[in-house]
Amino acid sequence: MKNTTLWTTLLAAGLAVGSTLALTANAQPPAEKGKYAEKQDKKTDKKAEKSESNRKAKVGEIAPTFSLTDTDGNNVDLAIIGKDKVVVLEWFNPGCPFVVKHHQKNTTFASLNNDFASKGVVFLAINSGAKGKEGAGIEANKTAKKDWKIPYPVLLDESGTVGRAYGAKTTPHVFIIGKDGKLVYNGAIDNNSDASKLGDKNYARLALDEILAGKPVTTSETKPYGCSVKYGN
Amino acid sequence: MPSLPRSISLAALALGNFLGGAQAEPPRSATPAPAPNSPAAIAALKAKMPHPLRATLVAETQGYRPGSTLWLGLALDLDPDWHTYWPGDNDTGAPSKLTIEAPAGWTVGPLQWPAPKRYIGDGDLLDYVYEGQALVLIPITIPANASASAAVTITASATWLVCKDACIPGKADLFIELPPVTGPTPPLSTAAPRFAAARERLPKDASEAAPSLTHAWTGGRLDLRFVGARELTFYPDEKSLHLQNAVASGSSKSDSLALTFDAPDADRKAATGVLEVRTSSNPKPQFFSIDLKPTDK
Repeated sequence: MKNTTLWTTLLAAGLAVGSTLALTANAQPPAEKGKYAEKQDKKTDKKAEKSESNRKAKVGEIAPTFSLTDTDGNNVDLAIIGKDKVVVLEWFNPGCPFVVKHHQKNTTFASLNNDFASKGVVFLAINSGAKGKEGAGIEANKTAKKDWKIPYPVLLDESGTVGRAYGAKTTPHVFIIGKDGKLVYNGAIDNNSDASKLGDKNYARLALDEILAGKPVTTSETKPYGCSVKYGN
Repeated sequence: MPSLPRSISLAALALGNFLGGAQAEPPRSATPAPAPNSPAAIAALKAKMPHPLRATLVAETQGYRPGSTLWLGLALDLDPDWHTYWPGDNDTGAPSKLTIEAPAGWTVGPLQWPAPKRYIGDGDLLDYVYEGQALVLIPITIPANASASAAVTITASATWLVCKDACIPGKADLFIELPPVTGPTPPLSTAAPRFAAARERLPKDASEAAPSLTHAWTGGRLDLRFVGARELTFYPDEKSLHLQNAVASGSSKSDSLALTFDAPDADRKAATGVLEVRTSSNPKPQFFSIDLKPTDK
């Protein structure tokens, strides 16, 4: 089918623009990528796309797929990198004090990566800040990745399409996707919205421990705290 | 310390700026100062800028009297275009925290937060915020047998988040010293007008809105009507049922408001918060507490 060929070509080329088209095109994903089904919106009406009900990824549903470029210029496709893995998405902005809290003042995400990367968990940071906004752009994120020694890709979503598809509101905002492609956690990184102090419950760690033990996630949804994601208009 | 991009340095220096209320020292350098208005000079100014929110502990009266309620307030003064968060069902931000230490036997009552305003950021992110001047009311009940021999010092510590395009956390350790006063009515302080302004935005009990305010539940949809209103706005608080499509549906320029909520869960059981009512006849808005459970019909 024409649409399937177009879809496969765009993904193979790894174009960043492919991520936008992937979310809005009326294409059927090829059978082998079926795990991360995309939303089959017949209407590509902009208003419908931006409306709350369409853009919020819900726990228990298949997480939206995406293909974004990282700060080294590499294309990262969720369907490929996340195949048979648990995926942790962390919404990121190097200028936000709450991101500083968890990457510089404390080693929250580094510790999670240390403990879980070897157990089949993939970590990805995503910056949905629009061009010109605080913390946006390849330079600021490349420097933060280097200075904070972030050992996983920092992806740039300057159009905000992926952020809106997930309903990412704050930095940090954490989404965890199970091996079956379904969202199992949506919310805060921990239970203390203080700008420096960590909470006594790291919700990501609790969820990952349960997932790896084959148990359902007890706390699957919490209210995230942090700076607003710096979307464009 | 590794060199950081400007945006991180700004956040780090801004954090350092008001811990204890002090401003950061300008960096010492052997290189000549940058030309005024150059990007480097402007960046240096931004890094040194005072925190955009000033918090002070004030009292409504010039002293305290045993056997009465002492009204203290956390006065907030924000720079233009900055905002801080009301304890509501905000999309972003972080809640303010305030702890008060009063003398033994004095009871600190529940904080009273004036009604906020809606702030909609790019990406349709909705928060309930304070801008400009605000005051959180702190009632303190003083027992009748409290000592009235000396001035007392009441301390408080506050943390908050203030944002414009960037966000800066803030904190302050505050105190106020109050002498005992005799006589039935302690004289008002210079801060008293701020208390009056704050009280105008405190929500009244919903019973005071009867019979103008009526409501009906249809499943998860709450229809509110206020006879004679030209504008209605609902501010959901931290424990409210979550309001769907709040940007478009949380406020209406009419006498009715249709609010659709998510289903209740263990933590959220009712639509709770504040209703703001503007009528053609009254130039000042009125505020009412809302606490309504969905009913099966």
